[in-house]
Amino acid sequence: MLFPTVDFAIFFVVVLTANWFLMPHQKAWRIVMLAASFFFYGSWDYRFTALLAGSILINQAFAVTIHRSAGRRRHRLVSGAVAANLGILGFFKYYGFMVTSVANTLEAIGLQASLPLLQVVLPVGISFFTFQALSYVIDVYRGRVEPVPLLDFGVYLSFFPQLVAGPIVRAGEFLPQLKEPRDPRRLDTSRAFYLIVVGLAKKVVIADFLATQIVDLVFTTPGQFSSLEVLIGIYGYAVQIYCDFSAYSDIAIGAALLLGFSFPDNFNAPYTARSIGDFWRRWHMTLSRWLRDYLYIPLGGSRGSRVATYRNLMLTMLLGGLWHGAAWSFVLWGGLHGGWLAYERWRDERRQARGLPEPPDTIGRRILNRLVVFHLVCLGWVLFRAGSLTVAWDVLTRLITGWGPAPAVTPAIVVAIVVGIGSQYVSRGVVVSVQSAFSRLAPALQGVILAFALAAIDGLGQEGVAAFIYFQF
Amino acid sequence: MNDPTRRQPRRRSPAGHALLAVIIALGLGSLLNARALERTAGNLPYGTTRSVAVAVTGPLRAISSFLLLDRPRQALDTLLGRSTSDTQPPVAASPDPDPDESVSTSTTTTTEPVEDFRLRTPTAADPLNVWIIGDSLMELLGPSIVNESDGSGVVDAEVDFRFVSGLTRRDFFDWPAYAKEQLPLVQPDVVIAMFGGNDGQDANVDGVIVERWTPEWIEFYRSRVADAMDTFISEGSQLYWIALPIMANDLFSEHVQLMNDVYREEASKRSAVSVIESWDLFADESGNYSAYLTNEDGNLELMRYGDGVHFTWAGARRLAAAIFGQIHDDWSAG
Repeated sequence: MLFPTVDFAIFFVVVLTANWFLMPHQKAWRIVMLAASFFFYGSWDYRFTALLAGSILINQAFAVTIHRSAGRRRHRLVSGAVAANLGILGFFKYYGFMVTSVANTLEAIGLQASLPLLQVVLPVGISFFTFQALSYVIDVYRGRVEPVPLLDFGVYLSFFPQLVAGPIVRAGEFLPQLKEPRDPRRLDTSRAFYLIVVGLAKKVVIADFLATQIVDLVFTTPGQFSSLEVLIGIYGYAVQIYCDFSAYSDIAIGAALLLGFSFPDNFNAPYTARSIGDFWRRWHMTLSRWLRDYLYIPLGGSRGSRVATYRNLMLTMLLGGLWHGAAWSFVLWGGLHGGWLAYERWRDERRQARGLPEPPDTIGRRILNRLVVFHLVCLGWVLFRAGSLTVAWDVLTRLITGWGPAPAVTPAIVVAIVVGIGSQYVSRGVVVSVQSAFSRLAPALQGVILAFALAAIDGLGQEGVAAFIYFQF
Repeated sequence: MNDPTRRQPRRRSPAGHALLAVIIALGLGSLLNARALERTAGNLPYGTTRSVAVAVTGPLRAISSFLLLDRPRQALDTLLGRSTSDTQPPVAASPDPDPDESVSTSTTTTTEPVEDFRLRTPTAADPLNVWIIGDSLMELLGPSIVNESDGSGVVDAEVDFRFVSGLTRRDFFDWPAYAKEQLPLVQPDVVIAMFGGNDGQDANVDGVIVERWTPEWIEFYRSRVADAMDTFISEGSQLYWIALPIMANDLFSEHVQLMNDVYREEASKRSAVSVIESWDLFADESGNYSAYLTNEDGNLELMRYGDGVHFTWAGARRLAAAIFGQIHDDWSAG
């Protein structure tokens, strides 16, 4: 059940109504919300609901047991929980890669092995809810979160707005909001509606358009396109993935706001970043924070030697790359970001060690830094989108060698790219002013404006809706 | 101090206001978009869901039209150069053939072999023009054929596939009508077609729903395949029709064999049509479906996605090599 569909609209109206009518009856609210979330998840494949239910039961059991334990047993239990979660995630995400790698390695050394060649279907959203479950268990272990009743944990892990593609909402952010009934008198509806409408527009009008008009063509048959077309295809993918992924986050945050929940932001104008470190503070922010708090810091963070810090940065980004899937192109994508993060750290430390001041913050330097970072990110996106090193190489080779005209680059494509990037430079003050003005309108007028906005988005969009990119992760 | 949220706070609203705004937005939005909603409903597979959706969206469109609420969307469609007709299929839908007439079409009105059809040897100056069409199975297969032929330097290939399309539901996408428009423009020497992934659904024949896989449905489907083949070769192109591969689901595989039989039988009546088999390419040594198969380098690779139907890149490359091999043999193209 995709967000930009009639199915979801009907589902959401029913859930929104039930949400507020049942708010005074918290037990009933929890049961209905759990059932709604399972219905939402089961709409992809009902078999996946068993996995989600299993994850809820296993992680709750670990959390409760860890809370009651002490000493080394506690440590063993949390290790077991991490191993169980990553084991399940690894099986679904990496089984195919592992079994073919093992079989081909054995074949290469002359050994025949009869391996179980299972066709494993990747359950949608497993990477996201596994990380959320880990945040709960680890935070219970760290004493930052108390175990909650099973029903509460079930509602948290399965909560449908962010279940499939984030943002990754931590237990410590969600569970306290569950303790008391949400206040039905003070909803931030104008922000919610703004996020939902802008999210739908980004996905339906820009992301899907760029995908079909240039990006998919360039990345599947690069040999058919000139250098300029390949370059525009790469820029197009940078805008597509931002508009696609941030759209899901926006709609999820907006839907949650209407249900009375506040989620953390997941994107903050990432293509305005002036360094790769800055980029990761603006892109998929909830994953960045998760990796920092549950991987980078436990690895030692920046507490050890300089080399250890670089190693930790690189390991974190490599594993962040692998989180997206079992392919060398994802590893290299993580390595590119990790390597550049380490370089930026080394550069800053060297400057400080020499007692040199920070470079002057001129307009020219700002533009240059943004251009460098954007193009580095685009280089990473080539690896990310290509899916294999061979295709990435073909795209990059064509980028350099395919001189010629660019008939595939239409004005509409250029406009979509410019709007996708330019929208990130719109000041936050303008956005807040729009939301503020909207919030002062009568509800009926708000509804009318939203109706025209929805109709315009549907009219400007492509026929049919493609799945969100991050569903595959 | 400079936080804009402090300067212009958003007014908070009660849940009832939010609910009211949402209901008005979706209700009025449905009226403004009634034609698109009716079209979406009509494209659903025949069954209860479609009947309910059509029953709801039909009156909705009538109300929208009466209140002139469909005008803004029409204006937008006109501005974007899109069709504003009621059904608005991607191309004008040709009428569903009469089932009886259709049967006779496939058995007696077979297209005559093209008399002056000759396979020429393509060159870089006069490349082999290839038009690759089909449903979602062509998503990766089409580009793989293009990439496979890229190295030859004598093939100019173009992919033109449509998700969810097929031969059963012309009301969704009418391939013969679309081909009639495109063939004079593309002027292909070769058409490579692969359909069937979405064709296993009930059909509407003169208002009567024909249940899929029944003998009546097979005859209906035969007429659709015959019509498609006749259209695709009508401008003198050689047609390579890709038969469907073995599927993960045994029942679906049985049905695929029924469709493959239709393709083979209809192709055998037309000298300009060749069927390229794919079944065995995706079966293991025992003849069973296997998602993992050994590639030409001797490495095990995942060939099919988890749905047990669509090809991975490796699977697409495997079939593309077989298709291009056939074209190479026939045309010395590479």
